[in-house]
Amino acid sequence: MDRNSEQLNGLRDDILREIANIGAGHAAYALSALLGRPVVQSVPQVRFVPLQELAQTLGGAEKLVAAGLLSLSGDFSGCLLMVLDFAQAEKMISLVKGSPADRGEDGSELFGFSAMDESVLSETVNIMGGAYLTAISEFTGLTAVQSVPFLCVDMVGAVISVPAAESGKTGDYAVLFQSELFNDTERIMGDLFLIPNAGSCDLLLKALGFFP
Amino acid sequence: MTQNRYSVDIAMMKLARPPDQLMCLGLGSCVGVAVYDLTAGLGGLIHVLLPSIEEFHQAGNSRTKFADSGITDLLQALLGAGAVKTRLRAKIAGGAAMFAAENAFPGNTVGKRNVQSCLDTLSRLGVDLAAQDTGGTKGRTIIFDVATGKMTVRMIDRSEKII
Repeated sequence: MDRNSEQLNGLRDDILREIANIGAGHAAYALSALLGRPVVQSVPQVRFVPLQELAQTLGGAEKLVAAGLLSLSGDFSGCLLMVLDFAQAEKMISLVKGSPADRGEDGSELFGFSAMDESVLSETVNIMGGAYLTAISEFTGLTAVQSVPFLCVDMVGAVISVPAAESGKTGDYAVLFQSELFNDTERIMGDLFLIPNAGSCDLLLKALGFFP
Repeated sequence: MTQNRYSVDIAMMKLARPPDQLMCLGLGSCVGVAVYDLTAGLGGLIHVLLPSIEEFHQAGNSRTKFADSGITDLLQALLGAGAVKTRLRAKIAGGAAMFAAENAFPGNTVGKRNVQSCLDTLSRLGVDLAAQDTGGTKGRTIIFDVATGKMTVRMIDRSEKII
């Protein structure tokens, strides 16, 4: 690779990171408004991850997580995925509704979460996703609509297989826009991922005047 | 002899001989396909992501990413390593619809289509299916024991199951 194209790729990565930065920044702000306490985001990473390494990137295939997914369609497509450690999901539920998450035997199919807790989690994903998407729509001029939120509690490898299948249709890697969210005690709350479908990454770049 | 356990990640294929074991961790919509010849002491496992290579010609280089081309390649590899075709048996697990309602959004049906393509391909190639644990809405971890042909299936909220 010559020096010129290296610089171009550096620019491309900067633009992609800025998209993640703006999206996740708004999502973190929305979450902090919802929780009534500060939530900050890490410097986002945009990575091209080989499919084989996806689960490892997310902390090992068997890690138990709660995940919320929004399917995106419109000028660009893909999905937004929020991945929380199981304990963090319980904590987020209790912060939003102001009382502990109740997981009883009579809970829903979502690993014992009550219907109320499930709604809380869904709505949190919905609000954060909406903020993320609105921000990148304003930034790029491209619009996409989000589906209703879908939840699951399972091994992270199993969760990621759904977006991985979409990415796998066009290549052997997935593009991950990853932002970590922290609360005031510096503990990680969760990861927010934008995973664009094939071609959508290029569309976002083109909308910002960068022709890959 | 020490027993080793090898992980087979998305779009990978591995062959092994006893006493080794092969495993797929956290299968969601993906399907783990084990094909084995007990007499020859040989088995292989693939981790399938998508149903058919026919649908996606521009999808990179990996043939083992797809059920149809992956199983075909697995069979060839086993036969090349000394397995006998008439003795081959298969076990499959995975193919869940991870996010609730199967038709909730495009992409959530991929598990079901993966399973169907595996069954079709095995039947077309004349390999008997010995057992399967597929569908549902939960992820699975599978451990395949080459010596016995037994597949252990773990889920987060179900006790271990051996097929």
